[in-house]
Amino acid sequence: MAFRVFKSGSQVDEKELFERICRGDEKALEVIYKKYYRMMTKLVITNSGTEDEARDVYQDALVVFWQKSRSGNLVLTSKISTYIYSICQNLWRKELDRKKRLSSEEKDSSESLDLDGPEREKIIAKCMEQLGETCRKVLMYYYFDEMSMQEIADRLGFANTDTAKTKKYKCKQKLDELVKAQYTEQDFLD
Amino acid sequence: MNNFELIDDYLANRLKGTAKEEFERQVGNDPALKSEIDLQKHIVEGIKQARAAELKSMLSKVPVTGGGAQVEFSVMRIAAGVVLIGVVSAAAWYYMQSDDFPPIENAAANVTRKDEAKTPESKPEQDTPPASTPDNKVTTPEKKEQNTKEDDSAAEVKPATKPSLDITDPSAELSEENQPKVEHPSVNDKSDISPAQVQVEMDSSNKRYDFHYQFADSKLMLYGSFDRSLYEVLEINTDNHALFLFYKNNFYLLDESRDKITKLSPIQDQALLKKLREYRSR
Repeated sequence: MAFRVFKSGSQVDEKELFERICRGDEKALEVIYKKYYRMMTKLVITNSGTEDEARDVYQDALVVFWQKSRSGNLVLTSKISTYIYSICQNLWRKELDRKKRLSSEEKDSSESLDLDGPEREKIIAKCMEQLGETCRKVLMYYYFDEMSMQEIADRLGFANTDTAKTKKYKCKQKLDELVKAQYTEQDFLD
Repeated sequence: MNNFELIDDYLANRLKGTAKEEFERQVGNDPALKSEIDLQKHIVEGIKQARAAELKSMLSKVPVTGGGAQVEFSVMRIAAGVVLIGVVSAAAWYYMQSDDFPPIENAAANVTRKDEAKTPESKPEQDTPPASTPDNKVTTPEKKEQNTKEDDSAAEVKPATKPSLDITDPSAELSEENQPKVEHPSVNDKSDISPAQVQVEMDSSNKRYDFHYQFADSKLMLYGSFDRSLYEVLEINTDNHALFLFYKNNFYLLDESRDKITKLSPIQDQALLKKLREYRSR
């Protein structure tokens, strides 16, 4: 009897956690992170990965899980842990392939690496830092979390959706200007 | 809809059907627009990466227990084992230490020595209560010949200055609620003698501590089967303050700084014993 109660409780927890994540509750993501940390990192560590790589892969997997959940397009047909585990597996497989490829590229040196990508990312990250906290959040919530203007207004305490929309427009313009000021159009084109 | 919104919708895959086809045709004919779209792709990607980095940074701050690494886990277990052994050893050492004789401070003799005499039959009072019928009255025991051989472990005596020992009436301090106070016939009226302030309680139920004492909450706790009629607490109030227990012809130092349960060990220092006997007999 006690077991059935516990099992029932844990199912409710899973469902509740997933719902909280869909609503954008970051604390729920922390709970999941802590709950499955050992299980997920073990997957990488027992497959030629280091502790740091394992942590990185697990965090990346949770970011993917977060984004998919937030998009509203994810319908969980398995346990959360099973789903995250499969993301970890895929990410780690990709990482191992990348390492292998990198290693062979170093050997024949036939292909040059695209160094522009990481450089561009750095520049944009720097420009993002120059924005204010609110601007940064508006843009991240809109482009990454795919929040509606109503959600952004609620989350950031704006008066209404029009305010959120105006804010988003101005913040994006400011970011564009910052980026363009540092790089000419040619820098972003092949 | 301006270009800004159009590009936003196009990159977010919100443009559908003919609107999307129309926009792509426009991009194909306008290199400047194509450049702008490429730029916006990078910027949006940068925003997403910033958010991913923020989430990862948030997760990195979450304390995780157990760790994922098998090796690390093993190391943790070994470390925990070492710590456990350390704790057990420290506890054992402390337990052994607590059975040592407490140092006698402010006592009369300038001697530091260890007594090796060990005769099992010399400590009957520690194990079994005397056959005499105990009653609730506290009486001053008669002066008896001191047996100095009763000692079951080494005693380290750390004497300091030689105080002029004066004995006060201890019977008033033997506080059991139903114990009547008894006038001590040998109380003198010297100014450095005052009634002992310490309250005494007894615990004979503890099997582990059969002849021990402890100072807790300004009370003296005596552990063991003490015969109430045969013990006295002597308080010395001179330049130095000291408490002694007299029980069945032996004197025991009561170190007031001991808040841990400590075994009672008879004083072996002959000079100090002589003084104590002398003052007690007044």
